[in-house]
Amino acid sequence: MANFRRFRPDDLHKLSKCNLDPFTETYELGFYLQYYAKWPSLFQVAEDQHGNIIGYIMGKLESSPDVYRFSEHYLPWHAHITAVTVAPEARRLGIGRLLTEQLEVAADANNAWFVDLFVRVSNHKAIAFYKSMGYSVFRVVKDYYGDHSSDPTLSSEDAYDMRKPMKRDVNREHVREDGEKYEVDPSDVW
Amino acid sequence: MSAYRYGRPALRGSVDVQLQTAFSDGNWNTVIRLAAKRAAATKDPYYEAVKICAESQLDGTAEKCAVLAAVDELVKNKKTPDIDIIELYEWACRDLFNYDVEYADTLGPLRARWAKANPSSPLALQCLQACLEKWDLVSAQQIATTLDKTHANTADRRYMFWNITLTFLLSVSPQCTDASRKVYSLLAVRQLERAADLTESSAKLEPTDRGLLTEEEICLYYRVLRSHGTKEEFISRLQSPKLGAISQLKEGRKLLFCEGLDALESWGEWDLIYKLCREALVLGLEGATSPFFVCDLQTWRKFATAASKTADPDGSLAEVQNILKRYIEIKDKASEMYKKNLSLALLETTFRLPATAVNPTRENERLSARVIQIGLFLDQYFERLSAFDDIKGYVAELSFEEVKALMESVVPRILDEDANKTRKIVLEALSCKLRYLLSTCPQTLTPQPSVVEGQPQDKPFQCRLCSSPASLPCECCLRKLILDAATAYERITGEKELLAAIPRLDKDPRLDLALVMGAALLKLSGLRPRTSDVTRSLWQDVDPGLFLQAVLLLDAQLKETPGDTELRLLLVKLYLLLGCASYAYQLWIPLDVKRTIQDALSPLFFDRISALAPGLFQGNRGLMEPLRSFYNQSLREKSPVRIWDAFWAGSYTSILDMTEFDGNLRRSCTLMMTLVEERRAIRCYGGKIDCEIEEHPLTENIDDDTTLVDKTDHGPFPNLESFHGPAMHEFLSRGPGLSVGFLHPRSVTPSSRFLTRRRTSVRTSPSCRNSTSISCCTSLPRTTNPPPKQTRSPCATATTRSRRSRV
Repeated sequence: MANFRRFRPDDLHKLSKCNLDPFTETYELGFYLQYYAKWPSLFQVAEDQHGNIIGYIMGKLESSPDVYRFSEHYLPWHAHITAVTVAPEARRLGIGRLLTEQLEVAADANNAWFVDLFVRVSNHKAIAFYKSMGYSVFRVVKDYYGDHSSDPTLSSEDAYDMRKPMKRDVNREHVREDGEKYEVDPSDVW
Repeated sequence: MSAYRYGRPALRGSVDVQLQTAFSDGNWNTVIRLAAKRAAATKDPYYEAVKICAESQLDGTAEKCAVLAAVDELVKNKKTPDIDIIELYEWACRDLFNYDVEYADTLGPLRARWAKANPSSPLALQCLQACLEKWDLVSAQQIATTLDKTHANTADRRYMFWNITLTFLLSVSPQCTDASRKVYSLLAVRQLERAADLTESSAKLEPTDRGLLTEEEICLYYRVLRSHGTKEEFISRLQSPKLGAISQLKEGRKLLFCEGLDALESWGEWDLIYKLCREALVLGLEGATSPFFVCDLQTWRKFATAASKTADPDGSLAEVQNILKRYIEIKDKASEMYKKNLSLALLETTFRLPATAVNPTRENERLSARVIQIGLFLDQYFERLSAFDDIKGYVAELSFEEVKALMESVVPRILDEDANKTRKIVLEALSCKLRYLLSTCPQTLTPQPSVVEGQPQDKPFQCRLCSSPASLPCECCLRKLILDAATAYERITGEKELLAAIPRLDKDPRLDLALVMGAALLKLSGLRPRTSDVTRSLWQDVDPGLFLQAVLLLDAQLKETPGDTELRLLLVKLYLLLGCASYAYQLWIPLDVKRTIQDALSPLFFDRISALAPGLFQGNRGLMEPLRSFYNQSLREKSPVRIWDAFWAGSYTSILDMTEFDGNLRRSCTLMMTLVEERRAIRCYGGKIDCEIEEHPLTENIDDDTTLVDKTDHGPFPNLESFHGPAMHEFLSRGPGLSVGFLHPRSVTPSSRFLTRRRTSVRTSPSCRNSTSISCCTSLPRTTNPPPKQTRSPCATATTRSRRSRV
């Protein structure tokens, strides 16, 4: 049913099975192509037998700018998961997990210290999924999202910054056990 | 000087504060006066350039164009220009590049000249970037060559590969003269071959060596080789011990393996595909790669297909099965996705086996190995949303005897009598879908003599399932299918237990049943793909009663399952066929087709919408604004979006793909559709067109010889049809698909700029309150056609008259 391979720009014409799902955001062309231009090995897709894209992951490799080097919030060289989505018809097959694992392989190949991502604190399903893959909460970013996913009366929602150490972090220096207790402002997150 | 591209340039640090301030404030008259004074006093041509630059900001045409004369003089003068002057002039000319000024004839050569004279300066890199962003490949290639020579032995390998990539891009670009094309092609190939040879012959390659090291460098080599080299060279290198696909797989790199298989398939090199797939799959079993690294369905399919085409298909397919068996033995370690891929691979292999191998004694032809494998697959996956799509291609390949066995002996026995009701109803829905699929397969029919017992027969076939005289599809089977599906549907809605279970299922079985009923009703109504005689009214061939029954049924289902995009899209197309564009638009909006996916999906609604409902364009809604905005933003620059990022990151295959993508987007049928539809709607109401299509900036690269590119995505449509006939979306078309002919500039030039001749009863219907419907229910031709016959539509009767209107 599925092939896993690198994204290619023509896939943007085959995204409908993923992107017509209301929970998947569609970005400007430049956003997708920026990832493909800079980090092609971290942009992976799953396609069905007809060439439709049924899942994809977009990630990047970066560190905080040098001016933050002595800040407590400085992020060393790491991979970041920007978006991961699986089409409704292809769920419960482990495609999200496989895509994430592929991004982790690319992160290791690029000598990243860890992989991180942001997730709404109310998204229990996603949090459980990432925990099952070895991710843990590193910190809570207060009011990171400008809306609330389940309560329309609220104008913001916190995010968990979750991390998984990569091979380079032998001593697990970049993860912590009790990350839920560490709160930061969005301005501290680069 | 700072980069000018994102704003007004900063002047040299040595310029006095008074002039600096006037320049940064945009006080151009003061700048002109002060710069003239400084130029006279210092004799520094830089101040003259500042003056010309300031003059270009004034309103007068002569002042504006003075900068062009200055640039022209610099180009003709063979001296190396000052880089600060180049940057000033480039900023001053920025608005002129989209009109009469070719960067490749002006600033590009100046930048190349400067970079050649100052190859070690960091600003030479800026020159390369500037030329790339203006897509002046000739100058960019020259700069890249210079930079490569200057940095030949540094650890920054990008200079070498920028040079090669640009040489290749130039060789395939229209910017290259025919005389130079061969030289650049050879240059790109030879440089890469030298690098490949160095890699093959070196025990270990250092970053300073000019060999191929990274995955991107290696894949660039193969791309260039595939384009400019020979097939033999490509194949030989693909099997080499260091740069071959297998050695790359061992390093965890899959891209070359995938691209290599594609190339071999295009050349019909099945023996090599078989060999490559076998070696790759064995790697996983032997632990040389992670076990399921190449276990994609595509690999298995190509492996099985290649095996069936070898000189010894029995032996080769036995080897495929042997390797598959070894994978099945370790499948407990695999994720669900790979387990499913293995199950599908088993199916694929079984279907590729020669008939004699599957059933050597031809005993029990009905319950063949193929039927048994489908049964085994369904045992595991019948409840999955994709189950039907996974097997429908295989089911359509079965013989009639096998079909009977599948539907009568296998599918009904997937569940025991005492299985729970929910699972039973899911299976029943799947069974209905399979029955519909079979109604589209010719093996369920036998040809019938045209005359029986002296009586001419109006049906050319006899249905082998129900024995009725039939055409394709068998109407009798479809009618029975509708009744059975309706019964199943009622059973679900009548049982609270079943309704309560629906949220836990992969897919609501009511949806499947409604789709089956809807599709069957549409077929019974006489709806068929309309690709040629589009002037013939739909209702001359289609029974409105049955058609409307299908629409109402599906619409009622959408109320139950509003989140289903397949059903929503199907209804959008059906309402467009009915001429109810306003309601179709209401259904379309929640799909939220925006930004990047518009190019692929917008034609599903907007194609020929101006002819159907120009009223939709009225008011301030800006119907095409999101599309126009997408193309304006994506095609604003002459270079592909984000191309410099790809160069900077050393993503060479990305550069090639992004260039190709950009070229296609500039020739997109959807882009032309956007411009055509908008203009047609304006003309329908006698409005004024600001800019004719052929003068529009977005059609700059489109002329009479341009081949337009249709990338419409039909993936989100439900499709119960078999591969023996057209897909569902073809039945829903109002005429031929987006075509080169209709959208081409030559079709919309003033001399031929006519709306398609048609009945144009402009009226406002209560059901289409927001749109002005033009002759509801007609199929809309793409090109000028003779006026169609007057017909009555089921939803509107209108006075008709022929009208020629400008596009």
